[in-house]
Amino acid sequence: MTGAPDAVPEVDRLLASLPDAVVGVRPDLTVFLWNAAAEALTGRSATRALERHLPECLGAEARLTRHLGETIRLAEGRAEAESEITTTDGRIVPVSMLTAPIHGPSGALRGAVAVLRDLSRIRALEAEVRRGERLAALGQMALALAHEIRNPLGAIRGVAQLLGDELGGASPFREHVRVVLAEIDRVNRVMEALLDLGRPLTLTFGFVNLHELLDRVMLLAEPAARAHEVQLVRRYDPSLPALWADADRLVQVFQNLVQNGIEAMPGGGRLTLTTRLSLDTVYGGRVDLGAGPRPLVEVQVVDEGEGIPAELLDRVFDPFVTTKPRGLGLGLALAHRIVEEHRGALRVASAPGKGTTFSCHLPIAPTGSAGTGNAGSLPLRLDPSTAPAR
Amino acid sequence: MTAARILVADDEPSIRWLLDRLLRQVGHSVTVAEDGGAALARAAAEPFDLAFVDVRMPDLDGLEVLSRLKTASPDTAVIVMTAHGSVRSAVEAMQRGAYDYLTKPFDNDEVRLLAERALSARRRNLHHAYLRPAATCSRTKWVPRVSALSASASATWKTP
Repeated sequence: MTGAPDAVPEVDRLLASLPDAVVGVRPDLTVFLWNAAAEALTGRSATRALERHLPECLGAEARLTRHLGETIRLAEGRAEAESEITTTDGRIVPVSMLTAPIHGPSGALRGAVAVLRDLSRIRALEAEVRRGERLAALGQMALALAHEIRNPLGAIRGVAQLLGDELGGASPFREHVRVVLAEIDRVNRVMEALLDLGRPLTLTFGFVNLHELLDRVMLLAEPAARAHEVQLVRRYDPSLPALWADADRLVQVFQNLVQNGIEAMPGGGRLTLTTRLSLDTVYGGRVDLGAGPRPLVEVQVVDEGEGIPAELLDRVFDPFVTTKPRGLGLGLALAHRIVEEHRGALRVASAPGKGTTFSCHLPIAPTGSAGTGNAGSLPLRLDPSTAPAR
Repeated sequence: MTAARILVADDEPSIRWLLDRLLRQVGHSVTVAEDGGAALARAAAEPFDLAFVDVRMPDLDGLEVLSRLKTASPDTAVIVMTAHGSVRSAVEAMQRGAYDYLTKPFDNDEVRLLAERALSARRRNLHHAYLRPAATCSRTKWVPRVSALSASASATWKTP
């Protein structure tokens, strides 16, 4: 590169601090520029890219290689809004890609430059919006169906029950009626779950002692855990402040996650609940519109089960997606929605054969409005004597 | 248990048939109406101790029927029925003076129990009104079973 000697580090600093990845190649496609964002995006350090042949770094068929090659051949720029790049660990990251030829002072072609912008965060947000739209559509359908299904269901249930009464206690056919009633109730539970997803969520916010809430959930899960030979493990950070949340809804979220975790380990194992301040770089400083960035608390629910297949992993929060042989796949969809409505985030990571981790990020109670000496806003402490026995 | 006059308003013939049968079995006399207009007409013709009214009927909103029924004959206890299970309309029904609400599909025993409760609460209120004629309004103030409301609201969240 040319320029005054003291201007070079200035340009380097500028390139290093750009959030967009910038990659420069000479006409023979050897790399002469690979900024910090390019390192982060591709997972390849500058020392492993500079002065190397780009097709060898990324592959001859990589979109970036092809675009830069064409830019040099035709001496004109290209723009692709929807492109992708494969990282060194094999992940495919959606990017937008701009290329331009670099001309020397005499007009001769000196190389080409590419600017890549990581679109994964935007794509994730778009996916959220689509999920929300799907849920809304589902809700409308459920509402329309509810009336048409529950009315006949009500009549069927009542008449079946009457039939049972007519048969009298000694009839061997009483059992038939019992099965009919149980199955009708099952259909109705499905209907209620659908209605729940479709209804607008109204949250009642208050100060929430997270560890008390989790202990309550664990206590309720004890019988199921024992039946599956699952050990429930608590790893609480006692210094965490109170949450600003809807306690009943959060119980629902964690009941769901804990129950899923237990069911994921038919052969027994450990289910660990960990709480800590959120260290997540994306969600940790998440902007709360109007109120500024708020710190979050993270609750991890970790099982040692079979894990979730990779092809299902980014769809587990969609309605009707389930790994269970029986189940509608509405529980996680609802849990996800509840956490989102709290302006938090529910995320999943899974290693096949090793287990699954659900990370729930939740907002801390605002300190300004909590200056009333509310006991719930004091740091939480798990007193071993109040913890459920066993 | 004393026999009572009960009105059943629902546009679903099978639900009308079922409630008619259930309530007759325990000795009540039952009149059925296939929509809101018919329900109001029957109520204008003869007094009822208790009415089961569906929230959604083709001609008149069940909540509207409830309001008009309570205005025309405040002594009639009203139980609202809903197939949507929407807590919001249940709350609104209570505010408009319903004694309680019933979610479809329901349990037959629940229907009979609810009817007995509504009727005995109504008798108590009428008795008080008779003893203290000067006390205004109190006789139309049924005490809603708020616990039942919240119980059903939380029950809907238990299913996965």
